[in-house]
Amino acid sequence: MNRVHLLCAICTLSSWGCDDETPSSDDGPANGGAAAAGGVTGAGDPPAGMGGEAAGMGGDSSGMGGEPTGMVAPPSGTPPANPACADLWNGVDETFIECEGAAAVVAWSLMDLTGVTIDNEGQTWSPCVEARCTADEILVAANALPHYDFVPTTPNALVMADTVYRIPARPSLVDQEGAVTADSLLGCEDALAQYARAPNQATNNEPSGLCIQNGNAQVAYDELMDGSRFYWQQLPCLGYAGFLTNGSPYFGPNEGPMPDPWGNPLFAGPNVAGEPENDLRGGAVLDMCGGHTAFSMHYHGVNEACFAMDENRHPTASYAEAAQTWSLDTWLNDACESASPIVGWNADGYPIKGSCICVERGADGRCTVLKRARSSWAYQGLHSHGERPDTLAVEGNACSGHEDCCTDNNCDFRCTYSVFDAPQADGGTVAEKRCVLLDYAWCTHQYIDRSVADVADTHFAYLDRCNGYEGPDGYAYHATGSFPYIAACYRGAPTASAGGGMGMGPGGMRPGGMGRPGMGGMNGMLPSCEELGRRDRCCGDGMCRGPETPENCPADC
Amino acid sequence: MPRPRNTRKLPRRLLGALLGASILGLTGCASDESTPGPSALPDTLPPAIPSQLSIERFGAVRYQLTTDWFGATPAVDGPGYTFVTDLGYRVHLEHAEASLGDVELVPCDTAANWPRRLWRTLSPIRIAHAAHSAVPDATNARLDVIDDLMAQPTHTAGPTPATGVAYCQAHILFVPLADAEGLGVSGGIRGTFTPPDGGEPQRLSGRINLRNGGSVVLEGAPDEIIPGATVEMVRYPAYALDGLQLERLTSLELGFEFLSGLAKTTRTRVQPD
Repeated sequence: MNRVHLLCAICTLSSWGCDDETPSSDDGPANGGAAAAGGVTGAGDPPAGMGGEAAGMGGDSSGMGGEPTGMVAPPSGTPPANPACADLWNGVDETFIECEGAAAVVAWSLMDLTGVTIDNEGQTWSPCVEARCTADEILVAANALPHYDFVPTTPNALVMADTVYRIPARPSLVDQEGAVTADSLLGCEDALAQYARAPNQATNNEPSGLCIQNGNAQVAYDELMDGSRFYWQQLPCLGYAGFLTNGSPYFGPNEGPMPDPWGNPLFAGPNVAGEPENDLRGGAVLDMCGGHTAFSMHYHGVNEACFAMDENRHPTASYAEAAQTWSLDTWLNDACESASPIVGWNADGYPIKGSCICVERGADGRCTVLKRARSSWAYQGLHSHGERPDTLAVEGNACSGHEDCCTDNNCDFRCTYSVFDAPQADGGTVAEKRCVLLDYAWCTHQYIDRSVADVADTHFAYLDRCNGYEGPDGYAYHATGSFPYIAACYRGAPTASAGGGMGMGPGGMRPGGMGRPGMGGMNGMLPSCEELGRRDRCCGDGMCRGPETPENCPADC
Repeated sequence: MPRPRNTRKLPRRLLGALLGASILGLTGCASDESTPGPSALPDTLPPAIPSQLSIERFGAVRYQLTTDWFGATPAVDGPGYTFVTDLGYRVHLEHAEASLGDVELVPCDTAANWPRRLWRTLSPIRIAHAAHSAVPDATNARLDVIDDLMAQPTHTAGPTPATGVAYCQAHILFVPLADAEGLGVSGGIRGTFTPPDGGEPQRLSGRINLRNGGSVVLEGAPDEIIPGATVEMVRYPAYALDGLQLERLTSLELGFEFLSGLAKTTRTRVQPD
């Protein structure tokens, strides 16, 4: 991130850094905010001169973050400590320094949850998140609790998962050495074959090869139509990929092997808050902020209203109010009113923002062109990987309701929103409701190079493969209303995180013991099929696929 | 995000708990035939006493859901019930509804079983999304009914097959269902309240359209493996507003908190077949 980008990134922080040209029309619920938290005493006030706005919560991203008109001094220093986080630093043997520059942006982008308590089915718990900085990294301690009362929509209990995340203080692009072409990773024909054979039974592993489940994370590249080459690294299929400003991790855009094989995290949920569920049920449904529990609370999507903060970095909206803004249609198709703030950080050190991007700024820092982020991943369907079985006959059909896709409740489809390739449409895509498959989130979507797409007359801007955008504010990932919802890969090199290996959720992460995502093998070699207890997509199955390369698996490649 | 529910209330309620327990005889609370108790007597519900339910594999699990206005009295000046919350709000509810979605038993391994959960958290062998959200137990049953809590109907569900594992909790899920206008509603209340410091009654109106639920311990299960059972689940609306500062909540928040309270104060009773 160069200096200009850094300043601009600071400028678009949700609460401070800029004067507000379009102040929120909604101050949020009267009972929300610090007063309701009890015991919030102003700890974590922003540095002097960092005045800001109380992010309101109206529809989608409006009123959140405001549109900057000029730049003021960036936040500096380390925010005040949160006593609830104190024990999380035990065992962290680092030399901390004041957070400055880009590191301060990270530190001051996190919620101040000092004094905040949440209800966990009758128990009072204290979420915590706070950052400290070293010369090379930003360490973020959190207990991975939501900042709002737990919503027990499933029997899975909420657990505290003490964690110290690490992200680089200076993001750097992925190491290009050993990179392979993205096309060499695809293995979705396995998913189609499995679905045709036994739709309720998952393939042993996530079949696409586009995320890393075992072994080393692969760096791959796309030759883009604009003549450039885009390098990226696989995201973990399961487990930690980055974290949000409330200290909870986010996971990649797929679920586990059941109930819907490697299913889509958002397809099973409602299209809009409050949608009657008489004909819907099943799937790994998220709460209306985008999270749910497994071994820890984690998010697969982001409802920006849930992460709105006031000038003291306190969350502003109650769950019940913020959840009402859940609307895939809005997040995909409505024009933006203001640039989205930072809602989290990817493990490579780049920020995650909401779906509204400032794509052009004037010399005075004012945003002159604002666009809705649109994913370059289009729903192509599982059937696109081979011969369409009868059981996929409705896939991709236009629909207005569930009944257009299913004849009973035992159905693998939903009528919901995604982005679809549409060469005749402005910009080349449409975002609308169609019959989509709950299963195989990666294999039902396909990244389509939009580097030369003409979007001048549209309200949206295409993101890259990783769901990021390089603009006047620097590079950032953007949460979207369609796959991959947060990110599909790392554009930068993740310094330290878990994930990758089976089951390495944040609950297992302890200070000092974390390696690069997906670092599973010894000396860079993939574990053998025997070691993994697998029959395919591992080293020794006779096929060079998935994460296998000549370097890490000469036996197969 | 935090909401104004007073959570420092347990100690003062112990006395009431004992009193309530004596009234109910620790029977797991009453059925739908129970008459409303005098509002002056119970300060709280009796504490739930956990037990572990073991049913033969494929044994039948049935559910019976009822509502009990224990802790409230029928309103003398109109329909509904009156009661006093633990924070001293005098409430008159004229209408209360909750949309019953799913019920299911929660295996002890998944439930809030601290030793097991601690082991699972520390264990080096972990599968990220095992026991993941919305992977229902085989005992999952759907109701899909907007329950008029004032009318106190009894709803039944099942039979569903037990899986042979031990169960420690029951999970109840409220979901948005289509009301007469086709709008989603998962819970709602309407009436009046008078603040603890007195004054004129104020309107009370809450309505929510979001999922909410909770897991509650199973009570009264026998120590032996049984061929089947009916799990009685009793909701106590008169306690669902405890801990809330009612004048500080929006309609959405009030509706949501009402559902939270309704789930948390649900009591179960296992009746072996």
